[in-house]
Amino acid sequence: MSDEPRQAPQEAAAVTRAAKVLTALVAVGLLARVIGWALQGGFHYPDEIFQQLEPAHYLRTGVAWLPWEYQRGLRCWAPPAFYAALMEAFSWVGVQGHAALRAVNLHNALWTAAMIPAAYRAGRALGHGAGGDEDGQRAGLWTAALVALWPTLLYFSPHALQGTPSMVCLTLGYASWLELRRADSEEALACGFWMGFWFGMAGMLRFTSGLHMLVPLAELLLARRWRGLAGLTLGSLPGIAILGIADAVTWGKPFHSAIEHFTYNYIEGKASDHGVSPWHFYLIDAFGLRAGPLAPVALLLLGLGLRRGWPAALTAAVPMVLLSTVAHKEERFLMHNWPLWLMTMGVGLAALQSWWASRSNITAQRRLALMGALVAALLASNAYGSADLQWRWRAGLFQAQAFVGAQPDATGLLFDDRQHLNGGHLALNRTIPQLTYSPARARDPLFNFAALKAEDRAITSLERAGWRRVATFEGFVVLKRAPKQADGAPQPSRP
Amino acid sequence: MEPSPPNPGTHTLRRWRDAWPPLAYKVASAALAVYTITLMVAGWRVAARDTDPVTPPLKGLTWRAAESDKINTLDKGARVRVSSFHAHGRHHPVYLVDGRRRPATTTAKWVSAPEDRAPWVEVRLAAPRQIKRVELAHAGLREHGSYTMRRYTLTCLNTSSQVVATMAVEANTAPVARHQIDCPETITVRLEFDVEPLNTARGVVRLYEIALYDTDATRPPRRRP
Repeated sequence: MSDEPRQAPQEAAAVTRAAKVLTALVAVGLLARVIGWALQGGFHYPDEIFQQLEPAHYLRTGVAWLPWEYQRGLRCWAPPAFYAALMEAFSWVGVQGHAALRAVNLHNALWTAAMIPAAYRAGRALGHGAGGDEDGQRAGLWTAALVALWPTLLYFSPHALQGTPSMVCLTLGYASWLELRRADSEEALACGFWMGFWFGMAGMLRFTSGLHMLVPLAELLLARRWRGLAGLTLGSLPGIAILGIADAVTWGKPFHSAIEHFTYNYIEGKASDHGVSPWHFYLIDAFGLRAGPLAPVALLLLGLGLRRGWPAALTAAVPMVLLSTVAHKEERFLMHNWPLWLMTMGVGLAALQSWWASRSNITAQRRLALMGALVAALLASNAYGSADLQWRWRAGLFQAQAFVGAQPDATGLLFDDRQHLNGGHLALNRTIPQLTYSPARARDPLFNFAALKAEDRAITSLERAGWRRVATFEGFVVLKRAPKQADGAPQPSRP
Repeated sequence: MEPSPPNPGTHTLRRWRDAWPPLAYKVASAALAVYTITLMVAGWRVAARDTDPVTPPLKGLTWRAAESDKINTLDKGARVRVSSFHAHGRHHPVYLVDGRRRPATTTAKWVSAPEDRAPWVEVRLAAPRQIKRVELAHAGLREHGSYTMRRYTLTCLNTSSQVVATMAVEANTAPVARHQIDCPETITVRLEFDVEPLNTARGVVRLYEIALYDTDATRPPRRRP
């Protein structure tokens, strides 16, 4: 007690300094997310259009093409309803169609910056008590820095995938869980409540994110944190209620979408219809290759961080192992793992810094600079590893759809490839039909625009039939039917 | 295991609040409140809106419908508004006025949404016209006859949205239903359908074409040269 007046100003100064660093990290993270958004276009996976934004467009306008999931009822309408409200708000300032799609992605990217302070809290709770970093500040700040700038996270941020907001909610939930592990009984209820609140939201947004909650829930049970569990139960109610009520209203049965999702994927085993990958996909491709050439260094840091960061590492490892047993694998399913790996690596970095400080006599500033260089190298390595992700997949087609939608005489669009590989009616933003190109459809005069890949041989035959190129967007050519009568005879030229 | 110091978690977070300028919290809280209220108002507006898809106005259209005696094709400035359309099947309402009675595929028809239990369609002309005949190409033209709608009401409206003529059809079985009706100075023709229970043949409306004529004689279709 006698030391308290003397230590308090020092501690307050440390907190202020850390607050400033974290504020700077959030600012840098926001900027990085804007840059990541600007570099991207198109989609990572069609689901983010046709299971999120296109249904939202349908709610707003009554116009859309909806996939089979919305016939069978595998999806909850609550997330599209949120996006519909967001797009409605954008429309008040004239942002519609493809621009609205881009704005939603920017909105989501900016929200992922909420993971930065959450990562700080998580890293701090994990690193707390370590020699040389007793209050866990270093671990917290290193974790926040990694989450702010990790290129794979920046890649997954500007998307309307179910996983993106779910990952943000999970990370906020992890921060509360890790704080709960160290909370006194007075705080346990509040920590448990927020943990449950964010886990409930994450589960509502993406059902399989429940796998990422197994370890935290098991830990609470095994450690008999009853107050925390009580708070968690209470906190999870809003997410559960949204899912139950939305499904009851739209599908006629509470939790219909969750039940159908489980039935389709695990009882009927139809997930494999969408492709299979080898068992080591998540280990080799989604982690090893993505971490880049310095993957061994990243592994080393994970190892260094395991002593204190094992709860985060185990929380990531369990879904990785479980999902590796399912034949159908996609990298986006485990984007939630990156914040957890980065928490462990952040603790590892703090441990390395402390170990180094105890064994060398170089100045703290120099040591910090070298640590910064190590982090920069890891980020560069991850950027290299993430370069082969699809940053602008079919972005040209999205732009072509927006272009056709703005043409005053457009009555129909024929586009490259299948119905679900474009920006949907949202990108077109015009109440006209759009279908996959076929020679038979090209003979229907209603379809007076086509958007095809530049190398598509159909372009030559269309040009021979009188169509002409009117625009080009990133490898996609927009063609327009020449003035003709419906029976195929060329229309006389006007004086 | 070394003993850990007391919990750093929320205690420190509370101290953090003091570390940042109070104005930052006020600004952040206000921004969050504006964001939430905006989304709630926008959501309410979406929920309250009747989303009746309508085909866009067209400018500079260069193609011409094959049968030029129809007065309600796209090239003549007609527009279509529907209560709903079947978003799973790509059955767009614009097919009703593209001038094609027998399209190449069965996709090219309007189908109402399954959840729409009182479907309707309106064809709005570019300018008021005399209408003497309405022809409807029902699903039976290209598909099974049981899909052809039996009961519907046809109404002509003038520019003041007043009813100038109406006709109730009770037991249609013709795949192409030809209705003689005298509608002077009509700008809009509205069709309201009685759908039957879902998962029956007429649980949704399937319609290939609405053709409006200002003559009462049925002409033979033009032949291609």
